[in-house]
Amino acid sequence: MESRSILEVHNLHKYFPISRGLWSALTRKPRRHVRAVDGVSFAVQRGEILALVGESGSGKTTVGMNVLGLQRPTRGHIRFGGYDVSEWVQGHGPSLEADDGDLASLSRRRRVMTLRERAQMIFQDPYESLNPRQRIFDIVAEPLAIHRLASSREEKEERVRAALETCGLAPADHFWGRFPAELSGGQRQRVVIAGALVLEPELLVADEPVSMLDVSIRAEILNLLHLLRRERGITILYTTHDLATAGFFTDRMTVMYLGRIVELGPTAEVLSEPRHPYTRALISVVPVPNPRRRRKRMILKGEIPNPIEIPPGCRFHPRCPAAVPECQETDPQLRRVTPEHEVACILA
Amino acid sequence: MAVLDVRNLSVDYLADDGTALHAVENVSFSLEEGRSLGLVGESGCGKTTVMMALLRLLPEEGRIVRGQVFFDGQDLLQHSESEMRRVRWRDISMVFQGAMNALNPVRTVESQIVEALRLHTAVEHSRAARERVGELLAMVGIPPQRGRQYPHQYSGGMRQRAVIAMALACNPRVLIADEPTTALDVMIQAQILELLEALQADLNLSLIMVTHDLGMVAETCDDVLVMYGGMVAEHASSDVIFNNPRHPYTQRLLEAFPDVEEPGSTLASIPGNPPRLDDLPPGCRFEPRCECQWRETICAQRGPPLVEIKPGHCVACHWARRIA
Repeated sequence: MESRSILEVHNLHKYFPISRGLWSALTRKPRRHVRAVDGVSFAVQRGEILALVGESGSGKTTVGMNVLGLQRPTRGHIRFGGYDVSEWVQGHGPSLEADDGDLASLSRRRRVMTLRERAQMIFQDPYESLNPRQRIFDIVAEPLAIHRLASSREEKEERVRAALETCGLAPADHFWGRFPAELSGGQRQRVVIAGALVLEPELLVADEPVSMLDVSIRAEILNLLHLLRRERGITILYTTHDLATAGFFTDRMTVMYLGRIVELGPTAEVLSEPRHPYTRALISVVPVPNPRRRRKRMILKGEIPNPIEIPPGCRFHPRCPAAVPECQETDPQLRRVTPEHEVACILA
Repeated sequence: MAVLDVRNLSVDYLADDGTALHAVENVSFSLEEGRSLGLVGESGCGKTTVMMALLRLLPEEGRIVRGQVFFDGQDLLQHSESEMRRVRWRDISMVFQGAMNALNPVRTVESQIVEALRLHTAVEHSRAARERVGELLAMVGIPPQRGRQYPHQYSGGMRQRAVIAMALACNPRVLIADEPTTALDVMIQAQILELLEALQADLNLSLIMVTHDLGMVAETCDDVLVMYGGMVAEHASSDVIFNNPRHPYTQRLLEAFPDVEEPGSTLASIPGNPPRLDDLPPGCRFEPRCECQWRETICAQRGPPLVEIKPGHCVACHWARRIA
């Protein structure tokens, strides 16, 4: 991998065990798992905005959780800024290189805290992710207290002010004494983003940050994320099921299905020349804001199968409109179709 | 012929201190038999209030202060409560926002649809009712035997289908769907839209789609009513709204909507917030956020009337004829 990558995910697996009934345990039936993420690899360059696109159940949120060290990977590695995050979180010994003097000497807890400082999450629902009884100032300042980053009241105010104003809530003192209920949905989401930014992170994982918002406010929040990248070089992992918003501001896009990446490439290229039948179907159902351009929708029957019993062969074949008999046997791997565009389909 | 004709509907909400907040003012539209109308606007613009008012389901603080709602030539606002109960579900039916999450978790889907049938039609025999439920479920693409299952055994998309089946139980002529696809995945959204389109054609339903999603409206509706601050901003056919909008608000709303066929294009946001009901601007409701080149003092002083600038194209803007 190139050294410019800030984040590298290698062969990530995340399985969740299903509790067995007494009978299954007594008869020693093998324990079954939900295979939420089942072998995912990708790299993100510093300052890049990468979209993780997929329906519910595709594993996109789980990837984000693992990247942030909020879950332990079952298998695979996540390297963030050169350090193996997955191992820190797992509590196995540090696998740090010799030249990372300052970090290697820290305790595991300190290292996880360092990760949190550098990588932050923006949640989906600004109506539920803010404490209704806390004032905006305290919400945004809380991460500073947890990380013991502001030594004085002045410094704290300075950093909260900067974060709020960067997020378009200016002048900050006009907002910080209020409670979340006094703000509109768009303003609340700005507060959520300010709470993430106050630590000055290098990476933001934004999990459907606009899906709960009105269309007119979505543009505002997406433009803000775009601005953060442009002015501060923040790297963003944008998780969504909405290809239209992803198309508007991301550089590259990965399309996930049942725990795997099925297509990965530059956003404009994936949207204009999708190679995987699943990507094509997803694009065809995005509503286009013009009745003159109504298109034939490629509707897939049913829903994503449950990730406990994953179909053999290509995991998409039961719903694939283009499937041939071979698809039932061959599990396609990602392969390059153009220098930056990879697809996991034997027909592509 | 118009199946539903709403004229000058105005709704107030009474605040705790007794002041009347004008939530909806002077909304008029008509819905032709078999056509679909999209009611579009941001949260709080009054679109759901209009629907609740015409079904006479406003909360206690809500008052219809003016207007008429003609259904089949009769003014629903003059109906008694018991007459109204016969209209709801049988003539006009509604899929409420979030209804899929409001199904009773401890009763089977079948028994919940049977209840609607019993209350609103003369179905006496439980066997006849169950047969009808089977038909309804099949119509929305649910295998009839799954009627005996509970809502938690359904996926989100299936629950939404079940709610639609329930709304269609008494063969209504008008179906109102309030945000029928929000909170659903794109593919499931498309499945539901396709279902609504098919049902509309098969049953000759007249459909009102209440949503903030312009894309959905462009895909399914014949006509569009854009609301802002409790009033109609623009009303025209879908083609005109999306290709030749004249109200600055409609234009800004369209610019804020991402188009998957034009990735990388810029998205304009609309600065500011919609007006608060207790602090409505004296002139045009959109004036404080309007960036139109024609904006003048008159905009802040006097609310523009809704004017038909071309046959079938109504705009509430002082400058509608100049704006291209």
